[in-house]
Order: sequence, then structure tokens, then C-alpha cells
Amino acid sequence: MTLRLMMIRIGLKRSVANRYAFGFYLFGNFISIAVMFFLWQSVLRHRPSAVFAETITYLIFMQLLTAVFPKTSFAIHDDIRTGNIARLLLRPVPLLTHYFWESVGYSFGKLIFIGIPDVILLVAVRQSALAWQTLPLLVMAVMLGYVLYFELEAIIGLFSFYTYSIWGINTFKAAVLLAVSGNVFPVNFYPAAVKTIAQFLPFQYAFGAIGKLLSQQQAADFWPTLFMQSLYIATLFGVYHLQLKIAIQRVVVQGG
Amino acid sequence: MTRYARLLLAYFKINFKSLAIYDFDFYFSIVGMMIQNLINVAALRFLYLLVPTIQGYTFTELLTTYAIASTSFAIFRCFFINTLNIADYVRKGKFDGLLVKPVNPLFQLLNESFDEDAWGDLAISVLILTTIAFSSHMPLLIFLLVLLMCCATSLIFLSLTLLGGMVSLLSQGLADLSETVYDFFEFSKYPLSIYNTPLKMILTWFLPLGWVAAIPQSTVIDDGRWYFAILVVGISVAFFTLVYQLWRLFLVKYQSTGT
Amino acid sequence: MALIEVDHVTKQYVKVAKIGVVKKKRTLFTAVDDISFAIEAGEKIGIVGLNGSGKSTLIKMMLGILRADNGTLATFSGDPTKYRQRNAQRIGIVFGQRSQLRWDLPVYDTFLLNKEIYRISKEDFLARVGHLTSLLDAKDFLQQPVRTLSLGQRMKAEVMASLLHDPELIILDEPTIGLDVVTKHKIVKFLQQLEGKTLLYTSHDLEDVEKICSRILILDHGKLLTDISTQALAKIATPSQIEFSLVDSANLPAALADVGVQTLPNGNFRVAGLSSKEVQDFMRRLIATTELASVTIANKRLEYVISSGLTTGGGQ
Repeated sequence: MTLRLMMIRIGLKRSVANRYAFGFYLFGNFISIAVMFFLWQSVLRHRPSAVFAETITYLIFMQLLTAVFPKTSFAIHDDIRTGNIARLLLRPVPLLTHYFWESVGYSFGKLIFIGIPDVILLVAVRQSALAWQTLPLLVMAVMLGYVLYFELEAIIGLFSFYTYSIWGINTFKAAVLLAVSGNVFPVNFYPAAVKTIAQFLPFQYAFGAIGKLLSQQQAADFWPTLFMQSLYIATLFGVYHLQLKIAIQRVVVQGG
Repeated sequence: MTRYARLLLAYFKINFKSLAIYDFDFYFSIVGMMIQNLINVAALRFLYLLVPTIQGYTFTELLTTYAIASTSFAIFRCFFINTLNIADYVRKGKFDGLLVKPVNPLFQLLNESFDEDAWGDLAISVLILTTIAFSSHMPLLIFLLVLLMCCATSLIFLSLTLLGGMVSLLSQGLADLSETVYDFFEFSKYPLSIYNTPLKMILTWFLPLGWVAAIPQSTVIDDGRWYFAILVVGISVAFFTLVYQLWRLFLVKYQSTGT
Repeated sequence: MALIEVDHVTKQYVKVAKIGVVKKKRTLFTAVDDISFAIEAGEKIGIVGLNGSGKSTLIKMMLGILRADNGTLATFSGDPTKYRQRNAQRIGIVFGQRSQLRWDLPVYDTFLLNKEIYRISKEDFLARVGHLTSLLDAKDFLQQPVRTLSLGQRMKAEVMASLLHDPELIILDEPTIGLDVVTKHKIVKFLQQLEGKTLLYTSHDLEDVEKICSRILILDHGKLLTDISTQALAKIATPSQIEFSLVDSANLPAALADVGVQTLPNGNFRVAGLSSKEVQDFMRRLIATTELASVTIANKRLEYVISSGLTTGGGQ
């Protein structure tokens, strides 16, 4: 347990060192939110104001998640490029554990420096009352979403064993997320066909599905999402391990 | 002038040679960017499934605004993207390497690296623009003016990135304000009428992002006032010139403090 | 007028240190402290000093990248910061720690780019590339991407790239760091043979400098300790140190006990601070009373000169 706490602390310290960077990121965050605010205000002007409030709350929440979620793929990429990965693989701690707990610490720092301003904004814009009774379930959904996204990042990071840079794959990932995760365009407003496809893919369960939960009042509404998240977490976990095995075998054989 | 033209050619040759060594990540990048572009178009379409007009603008009009902004940004991304790395250059000591050559350091900085994977994005943007032009029977002159304006307004993005880089270096921040240019791009995609008045003022007179797409669209294309193109180009060049003067001041400051 | 004139130049930096969470302490750090000297065309000057002595700062000021706080500098008879870009045409630079070559492309491609940057004619370009290639023995790797080259090959390429435009002034800032002996020797020999150029060579390895340069500036903590010709420097008596090991180790003959011999963890013995006469005496006694397995006589000339605070001795 103490090892994990230590790793969290390392991550947290790193984020404190980067707090100025977060300031600039927050600035960019606000710009994105501002654009979305005005755009959706114009789009939803003939609908009841509650719809707009709900939509903008959702979007700010998505920005918060995007900000706080880990960028593990680049950490893995750097370690592979520098050869540091060999040292990490020799440690008695599983690779994934190492990255996970440090990213938790780092994300916690981001939550403080970027998340809190976003939450303040969120509360200011929100019209309906917060459903206190379902808050724990919401937090759980966020945590599961975090783990899910982390696994996605880990899988992408492992691609560094095969390519010199992972910028392209990350761009591609961003495109996919843009399309079906609901991180920029609210899932509710997807045309029916896209909505259906998105429901079967894992990406929504790190973003859009959690956003939808913001407006749910009943605990019962939460379970389907939590279930799907857990399912995908397990699946991606398997994919990751398979990929790691293949990658290591390849490296050991080729000595890259 | 011819000297810089020849130099430009030499840089092009050397940058395109780098292209040959790329692996499949490069192709992922091209495809990824093109997909993102298309998804943005799809998103606009989805918006119009919810409402018939946005601030009086039809889907075609909004798409035009988007396409113009996208083209301008893609040009910036293709040719001027290396300015994002100013802070990195200084911290790694590479900036000095630019200063000891008998060529303008900014010119070198821009040319040292192109974003080859953004060419797909540029192609798509121009394709969308051309498609709109055809289907709306846009006069050829107007279309060419639009392309010209896109070339000029990409300077606005370049200037903003330069400003960001200088700010982050001067404040000795551990961060890069130059990445915010991607967020500024968001502002430029939509007509100015969706914003409130203060923001409209800022985007017209302070950070001239409104001139990238919104103003060209409403004046040159919608109203047919082709002479506005001159104004657009003029403002872009003026803004860049202003920022360039700040850049020269920055160089002077750099010489007195090093990093 | 001299090629480079440095007149009472001082450069200070503000170093900001964090104390606690918010408070900061600003200290003034003097990188270059009231230095004056002049370099004539055709001279080969070595600038030597330990890390942090101000060498790089001085070079940057001569190049016009950095502006002096006090004093004046003139490079090619003009203010270097004002004429930086113009002067660049006549200067060739090798930064030992930073590369000017394109990492992912063959060396030759960077040369072609430099050809355009420095406006070199095709004939001159081909002639110089050929000439430098043979002098530095670089034929094998010019078409290979830089990232595949060894450090030695890369350094040769850097030197070539800096000389393509036939500069009058050549500045090499720590070019031999980390190089293997063979490559180092090649580059040193190449620099020795250079004629008609003004050379500024910085290093913290005094032996290399003595081989190449005719005049040496020794810096320490920003001050110019001494501006001295190589010949004069070599004549300065500096204490030597002898390290030796015995065939029949462990036991040092009592006859040598009076000299203050140290025993090292690896079983060797060491005696320091000997003048040249004492070295002679000791060696005689050593050979007479022991059977030597190995012996090394070393001379930490630079450290001695700096630590003994040798002030300006002028030229020869």
C-alpha cells in the first residue's frame, strides 16, 4: 500500500511543479468553453433554457474530464524511446501499476489546478439542483471512466515498441474520440444511427455516458453505465496484457 | 529576395526528404487529421438536424465559414507550425544556433520543420471549399480571393503562436502559451454573430480571429463585396508586422539575459 | 584594428532561487568579470578554464548572441550584437554540446542547406567538401543519417559543416568532449595544420589546447587569470604526481617512507607535489629500491595554474 501512496505522491509533486503549465491550459480550456457556450446558446435558443443549461453543464464537465485524464501514452513512449522501459520491466512492480498510480497523483494535481475552476464554472451555470444522493455513484462512474481511459492510453503507448513516434496514433485516437465518445459533441444530440454505434464502443464510457449521468436523479439509472464501464475495463485489460506480451517477445527476439 | 527564395527551395527539398523515412505512424497522423476535419463537418451537419438556422445562417453558410477557417489554419499548420517550438529551442540551446547564421532567425525557425502530415488536412479543407464553391455557383474571382485571404490570414495564427512563445519565455514559465493557438482556432470557425458584443469587439480589433473566416464570409461571399479582401489581407499583414516588431524587441531582450 | 577586441567586459546574470513555497531569493552571479584582450587575425587562441569559468558566455558575447552589461566588444570592427547576422557570414562555429546537423538526414544534405545559407558557389562547395573529406577521413559516412553516426563521426561532420563557407574566424566550443582518442587526434592534427585562419578554441583539456594554440587565455570564475603564450606556459614549473605499483606489492621499502607516499585502495601508491628535481630524485630511489610493475607521472598544470592564482604574465 505504501508503495502506491509513494507513487501517488511522486505524481502529485510533478503536477505541482507544472502548475504554471496548467494555468495556460486552463486559459485554453476557458476559450473552448466560451466558444461552445455561444455556439450552443445559438443552437438551442428556441428550446427551454433548461436544455441549454444541461448541455453546457455537460460540456464543461467533459472539458474537466479531458483535462484531468492521464496522458500515459506519452509517458510510456518516452520510456521506450530512452530505453528506460527495460529498467521498469525488471522491477517487481507490474508496469501498469507503476504508470497508474503516478498518473493518479498527477491527475489529482490537475484536478486541483484545473478541475476546481472548471467545477466552479459548472456550478455557476447549472440550473437544476445537484442530486446529492447519487453523487457517490457519479464519482464512481468518473473513477471507472478514468481507469478505462488509462487503459486506452496504455495500449496506445505500447505502440511505441513498433513506431518511432506515436503522434499519429494519438491524432487518430483524438479523431475517434471526437466522433463517438461525446467529449465535444453531446451524445444526446447524435443522430440515431451514430448513437447506436457509439453505445457499443468503449469510448463513450470514458466521457459521454458519464456526462449523461449528471442529469440523472435515480440510482437505478447509474447501474447500466457502471456495468458497461466495468465490462470494458476488463476487456481492455486483457487487450493490454496481450499486446505487452507480444511486444516483449518481439523486443527480446530482435534486441531493439 | 531571390536569395531567400533559393533558400526556401533548399529548405523544401530537405524537409521533403525527411518525409521518406516516416513509418506507419505518419500515415496514421495524416488520416487522423483528415478524419477530424470531416467529423467537424459532420458535427456541423448534426447541429442543423436540431435547428434550421443558427443566427440566421444556413448550413451551407456555416460550412463555408468553417472551411475557410480550416484552410487558413491548415496552411499555418503546414508551413508555420515550427513556431510552436520556440520555447523548446531556447531551453535546449538550439536558438543560439539560429542566431549565428547569416539568415533571419524567424525565417530559419519557420523552415526548419514542416508538418507534413497536415497536408492531408489542407487537401480536405480546400476540397470542401471547392465543393461549396461549385454547388453555390461562387464566381471564380471570389473563390480565388478566398484562397488568397486564407494564405494571408494564416499569418494571424502564426502571429498568435509567436506571441504565445514569447510570453511563455519572457515570463520564464514552465509552460507554453503557444499551444493555445489551437483553441484560438475554435473562435475562428463560427460567424461573429454568435458571440456577445464584448467578445465580438475583441475578436475584431484585438485578436483578429474574426478576420480569418467570419468577416470574409459575411462580406466577400455573402455580400459580394470583393474589396473587403484587400482589407482582410491588410489586417493580417498589419497584425503580423506588429507582432514581428515585438519579436525583434524580444531578440534584443534575449541578448541581454540569455535564457 | 584587431579582429576581436574585448575591453573591460562584464556580464552578470540574476539567479533566482526558491526559498520555501513562495519566497524567492535573487542573487547576482558574475559570469564574466572585467575582461580585456585583443585577438589579431591569424592567431590561434585557446580559452581554457574549469566549468562555469565564463568561457561560453564570453564566446556568446563575441558572437553577438549576448550583450555585455559593461565594457565594449568589437568583432570584425563592429558591435557584434548589431552586426550579428552580417558577421555570421565570416564565422564558423562548432558547439561541442549542440549539433547543427539535421538529425534524421544524411550529413551531405545539411551541407547542401548550408551551401544556400552561406551562399557558397557550386565550385567552391564541391572543392571544399572534397578537400575536407580527405583531410578528416570522412568519405564513408557522409551519406548516412546523422542519428546513425558515432560521436566521432558526427563531430567530424560538424567541423566540416562549419568550414564549408571558408570563414575567417573559426570558433570551436568544447569540440573534443567524449571523443575517442583516434578521432580526437585527427581533429587536433587537422586544427594544427590550419593556416591563415583565426581560431578560437575552448576546452577544459589543457593538453589539447597547448598542441593547437599559440596563445592561451585562462579563465576562472569569470576573471581572466592569465593571457600567456603557449611557450611561456609550458615553461612554468608545476608540481608533478607519480603513481606506481610494485611487482611485490603491499610492502613499501622503508627507504621511501620519508617522502609521504599514499597507499591507494587499488593497491597502487601515489606521491604528489613534487618539483621536477624531486621527481628525478624520487624516480632514482624508486628504481633502485623496488621492482616496478607500472609507473605514471602526471602534471595537473591547469589546476595548479588556477589554484596558485597566476595573474597576467603577458606574452613571451
